[in-house]
Amino acid sequence: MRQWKKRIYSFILILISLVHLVPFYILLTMAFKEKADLSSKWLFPGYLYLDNFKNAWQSANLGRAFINNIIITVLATLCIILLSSMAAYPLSRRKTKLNTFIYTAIISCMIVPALTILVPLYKIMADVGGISTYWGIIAVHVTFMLPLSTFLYTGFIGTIPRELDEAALIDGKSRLGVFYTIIFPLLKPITATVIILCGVNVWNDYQYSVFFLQSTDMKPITVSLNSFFSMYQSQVNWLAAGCLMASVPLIIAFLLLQKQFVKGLSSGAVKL
Amino acid sequence: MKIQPKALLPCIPGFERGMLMRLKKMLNSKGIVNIMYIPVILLFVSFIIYPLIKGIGISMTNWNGYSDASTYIGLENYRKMFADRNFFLIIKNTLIYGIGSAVLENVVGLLYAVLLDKKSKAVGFARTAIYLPVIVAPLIMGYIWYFMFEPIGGAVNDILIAMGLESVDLLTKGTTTVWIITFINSYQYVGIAMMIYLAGLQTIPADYQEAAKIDGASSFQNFVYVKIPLLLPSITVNVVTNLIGSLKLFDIIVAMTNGGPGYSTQSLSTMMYQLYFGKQDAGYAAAMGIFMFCSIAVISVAVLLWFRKREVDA
Amino acid sequence: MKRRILSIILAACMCVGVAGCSGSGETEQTDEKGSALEGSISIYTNCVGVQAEIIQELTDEWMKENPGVTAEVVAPGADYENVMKVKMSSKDMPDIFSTHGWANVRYVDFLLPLNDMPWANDIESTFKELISDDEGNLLVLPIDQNKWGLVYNKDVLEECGVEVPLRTIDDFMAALEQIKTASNGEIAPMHIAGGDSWPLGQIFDQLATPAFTTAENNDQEALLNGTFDWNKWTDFSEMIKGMYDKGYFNEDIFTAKYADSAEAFATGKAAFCWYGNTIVEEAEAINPDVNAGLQPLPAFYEDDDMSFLNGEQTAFGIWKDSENIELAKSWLNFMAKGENVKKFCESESMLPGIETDVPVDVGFATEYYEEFADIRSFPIFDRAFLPNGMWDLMCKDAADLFTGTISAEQYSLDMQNEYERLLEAGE
Repeated sequence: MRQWKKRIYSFILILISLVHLVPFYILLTMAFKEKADLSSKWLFPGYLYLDNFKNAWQSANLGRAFINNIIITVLATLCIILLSSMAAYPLSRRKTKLNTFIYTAIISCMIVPALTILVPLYKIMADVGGISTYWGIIAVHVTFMLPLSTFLYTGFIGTIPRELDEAALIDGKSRLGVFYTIIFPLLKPITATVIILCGVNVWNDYQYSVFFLQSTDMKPITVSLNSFFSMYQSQVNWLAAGCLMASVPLIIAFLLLQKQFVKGLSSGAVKL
Repeated sequence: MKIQPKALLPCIPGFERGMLMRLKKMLNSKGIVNIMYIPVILLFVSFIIYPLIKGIGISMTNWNGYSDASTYIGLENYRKMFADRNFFLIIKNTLIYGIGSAVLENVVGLLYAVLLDKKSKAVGFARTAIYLPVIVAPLIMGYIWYFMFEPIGGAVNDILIAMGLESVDLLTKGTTTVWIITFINSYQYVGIAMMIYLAGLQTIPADYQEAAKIDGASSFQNFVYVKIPLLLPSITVNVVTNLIGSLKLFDIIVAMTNGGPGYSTQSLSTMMYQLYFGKQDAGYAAAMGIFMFCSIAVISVAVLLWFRKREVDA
Repeated sequence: MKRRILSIILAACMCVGVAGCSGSGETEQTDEKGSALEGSISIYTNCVGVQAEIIQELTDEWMKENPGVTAEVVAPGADYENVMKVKMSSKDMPDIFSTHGWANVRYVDFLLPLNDMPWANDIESTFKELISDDEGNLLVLPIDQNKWGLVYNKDVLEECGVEVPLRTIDDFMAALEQIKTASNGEIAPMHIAGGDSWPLGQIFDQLATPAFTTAENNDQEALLNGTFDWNKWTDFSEMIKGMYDKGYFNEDIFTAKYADSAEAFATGKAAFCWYGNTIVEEAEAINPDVNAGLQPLPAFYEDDDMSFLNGEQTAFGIWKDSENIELAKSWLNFMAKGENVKKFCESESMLPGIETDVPVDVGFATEYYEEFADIRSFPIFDRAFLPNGMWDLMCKDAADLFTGTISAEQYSLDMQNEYERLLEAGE
């Protein structure tokens, strides 16, 4: 009986996993097919064909795009971590009326639809010379990711006992020093969460990049790949190949950080 | 050699001893930590709040989106919006995208979490598999599902045909298509909800469940009366964030149907985009954006307060 | 330790910031005295694929000829128009940009008059007026031109026993029916990639020319001065809706993408397409043996003759506030050279937009342009007769009309309202 139950359980697990892997499977079959091969997307071709990867890499200049993505994602994520963990400290430790208001205001910014403010935002960026620069797009990404990350950090710092701060203060640390020396090192798990949630968003962004990164040399991966599917051109097999290549770094990052990621979400930190 | 900053202070013109004291006091006052959020506030004011206010200004003009000329027309754009033949269809679609995704993601996410709240290799694999779609760019996810649903050569129709059924064009079925897109959005992001619930489940002290078991509760009762109330904070977070995200849904719609055919699968955000770039009616687009901002705010705050009340009761 | 890492990170962020700043600042320098050109320019184009590559190649050659200059070609593809609108609204234009048919209406305030350019008198005359401003100043360099007719798959028509040219719209309707019956519904008489939305407008836009502008007794004046009777649009759209109801379009008309049209055309599953000559290039990539033909648009009225549509396709203008006007002019002159125009046009089987001393071979279209050399050309309907901004509505409402969501009267009413709003906003 027990054995039987266990089998059903494993069967369900496998089924669910397969369902969620379908997109990757379809990407795989498409990535290995020639353009003229119109067989079902469920079938792998009976031949080995790697040109899609080569063409996608060369034609979309994916090498350059990868470098752009890495620079933008790494720096943006670092800024997000720094700025929001810093902001979260007073917001979670000193719940004055002012701070509660500011916390609410920051979280509310999650609601603002990007399109509503796109044009004024573009104008500001153009005025300060931020179009097609790394710092420009990083500033935009950081701003739009801050509500989420500040929320996560504020919740997490709330679970760290205040006694730690007080003990450090008695030891003669300055109030700001307490954050950097005592609190910041404890934020590892939630930082993994922030890296995964925000980093993935930045890496995959299309909406902002298409407007704020116009120069060819600055294009990130999603924008480059989208050109395979534009008005007068359709290279779906290249798109599939490029998409697979683009997800590899993310999959690796996720696998590496997975444990910390879950840890960061737990301990009752994620609370509105 | 190290120069003591203190030693230099008397050189500053207008320096008095009292100032140093005040500076020291300020640095050690409790409020000093507040300076740590100033960078965030600055970013928000310049990149979100200021553009938002400008957006409100634009919504009261007939600006075409690129020229210098525009006239103030008051609330005309808002009047036009409510008189628009397609407006209520778009609202309906947006609500399906938003509420539908929030419900689906949470119900399925919670089920997955309960199912996978164990430790084994298979469970680890399943968790990773469920989470993986999250890391695909939503635009590309939309394309993938477009390939699945294409009426000719689409993967779903291949299955239907193999089963001896007629192929159907699921991307042109109006409200059904809206639900399909909702389903796909939920499918992609259910992993995040699951992870948050898994984390929530781990914080439930084991003795609570033991106690329930001793009282003779079935595992279903245990779930409903012990786990759910304790998971309420996680549920609140999930529901509210999913709601906000899905009410703004954009990329997947663009990739799968581009809001079409006609206006049948438009949401507020795709409509806004088309008004701005397609119809060159930037004033109207801005009005719709402001409307969207306000309605998402109202809906999410209402839902938040509703759950908060339950949390307190629980 | 932690603090050190932090400060390194901060410093790194700052460096990137500073580098970004200087990167964008260092561009503008022109040697005004002028023997050797110096500086850098940016060129934005809506071209994609092969044509974008050719522009890049030619730009590289131009840079080789002028060692002091650098140029960046930006081709955002489907996002081009959106990017340009955002750039226009913040007065942040590239030195040179494509105007894709909207030189006078949309971009006129940003364009430098090009009357004194050496090639200014060699422009194709049918559309020269449309790429000049109201005072007659030439605004852009048109490299190629669309001479749009009805593109068909020759083999399919032969197989179904349809004889071309189809001189009237009735002949055309009869041909559609014949293709449908002769192929047992296997072949789509017309293929439209409605999943991309814009191809749906294409058939309305192209047939509107013979319907409203080519006959002796036409509506050109009324359309331009705002007195057009939109009831005529009701009849017109009902006729096209009739084609839909009779099943003359591909089954997946609302989901198919442009590539699907090309595929259907290439594999003999579609007879007619509404994309002009470009579809043939795309189809040849799938099936090199595809046999394409071209004829002018059929006439709507008895006393009228067939017609071609004609307009510039890839045209470049210079931003009037550019700090590199000399460089930009040099680039345009380079592009206008005979062999460069030839290279560009032949990659897409299109006629050149300016006369040069180097003949251009337009591939499959050559014999047809010769055969129909006497047929008149008219400007593209929406560009010449509708205010800027109606295209999107035209496509969206077409879909709603086909699916039965709205009536033809509603379509006309929507068109009329939008037409009046845009005319008013334009003044």
